[in-house]
This record gives sequence, C-alpha cells and structure tokens, in this order.
Amino acid sequence: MQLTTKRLHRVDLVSVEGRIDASTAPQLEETLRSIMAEERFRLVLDLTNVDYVSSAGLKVFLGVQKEAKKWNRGELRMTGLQPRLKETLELVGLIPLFKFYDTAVEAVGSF
Amino acid sequence: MTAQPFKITLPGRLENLETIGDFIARSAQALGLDKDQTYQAQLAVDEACANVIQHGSLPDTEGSISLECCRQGDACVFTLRDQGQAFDPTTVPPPNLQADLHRRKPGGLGIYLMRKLMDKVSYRTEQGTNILTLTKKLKP
Repeated sequence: MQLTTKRLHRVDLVSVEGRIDASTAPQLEETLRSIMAEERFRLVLDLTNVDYVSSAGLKVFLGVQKEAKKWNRGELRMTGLQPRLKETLELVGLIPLFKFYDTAVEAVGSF
Repeated sequence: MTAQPFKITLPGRLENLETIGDFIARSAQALGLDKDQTYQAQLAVDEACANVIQHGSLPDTEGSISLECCRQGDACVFTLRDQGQAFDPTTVPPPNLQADLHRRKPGGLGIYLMRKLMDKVSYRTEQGTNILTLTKKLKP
C-alpha cells in the first residue's frame, strides 16, 4: 500500500494505492491521525486506486470518522470508491456514515 | 486440474495476508467461483486468517497457518488450520449495524463479514488444532 498526502488550504487529501488489510491499515491510521493531531479535521480519502479493503480498513474509516466529527470540527469524506468496496461498506452498514464523491476535486470542494 | 486440493502453509504473520489473498484468488477461480465470489472468498479467508494471527497467540513456528481449498459437490470449501488458542468465531454475536456513528463499535466487523460472505462457516478442534471451514456455493 502506498499513501500520498496533500495539504490544501482547508482540507487534507490522502490518496491510497493498493490493499488495505490488517497488515497495512495501521499505516493508514497513523497517517490520518497524525493529520488530526495537527488540528486538521477536514479529510478526503481518495480510494480510486484501492481494489481491496478488509475489516481492518473499515475499522480505520470508522475510528477516524468518529474522531474527525467530534464537536463538528470536521469530517472524513471519500472519493473513488470502487463497486466491490462499496458492496463491502454496504454489508457492514457504513454507507450512511460517510459522504462519497465522484472525484477528488468534488470531495475537496465540498468542504 | 480440480481433483487435487490447493494447499499452502505459511508463518502466521500479517505481512503474509497478501500472499494468502493471491492463493485464494487463484484456487477459487480454478475451482469454478466467478470473480465476485472469488473476491468474497478472498475477503472471508483474509478475515479468518487476520483474526487468528492477531488474537490466536500462535506458536512462533514457520508453518503455523495452513490453508486448503477444494471442490465438494457444488461448493468450494476453504479450510484453515492453526495451532493457536481455541476460538469459535461462529459464536460471536453480530455487531449493531444500525447504531449511529457515536454508538458504533469499530470492532467485530471481520467475523461478521466472514459469515455474511460465505454460505456456511463451521469450527471444530482436533487434537489442539483449530479447524475453520468456510463454504461458498458455486453459482448454478
């Protein structure tokens, strides 16, 4: 799994490439939490190049969303969700807890 | 062809999950599952293995997890064997998926997914070995 982070004016964009599983999810969690540790809670996760997410990744999405949304200070929004990943998120009831956008530009602009 | 089961034995380490995923994908397709079912089988077996590696207190030996995939009638059967702590995932209650964000518990999704994605999940122990069997029916 490769991560690329981009600091924009109001938002941090994190692009992921590869698999998010129990082996790689801690690296994603650390990256997202280190951004929040700098008091930046408007996050966009670009999953365009992610073809696999296991529950370890879902746990990170959920935990980071809880943290980011505290006191309405921000949110984790997503873009590029592939159909198979969408099915997985649907199965575990995560779809209503996130906002999804077709492109990273739309997701960033939504804040 | 499909007469012989596919087998792999690996050290129980998280970095081997990708190798396990590739093995399941190859075996599942060779045994007749379609692409969607193959992905579901990959995910279910990954969840089972990750659970054993993270919570099973596996002995520190090279071949601590072994997997076998074979065709049984109209289904593909994936069997995971390990020497870790006995744990029956079929007894774990499902998470509350309707809870709002603040009440959602982050854990428990893996076992839920595993059971949801497969047609049958069964567990037994035999002389200190945990044997988890995941069954996926082929599409008619």
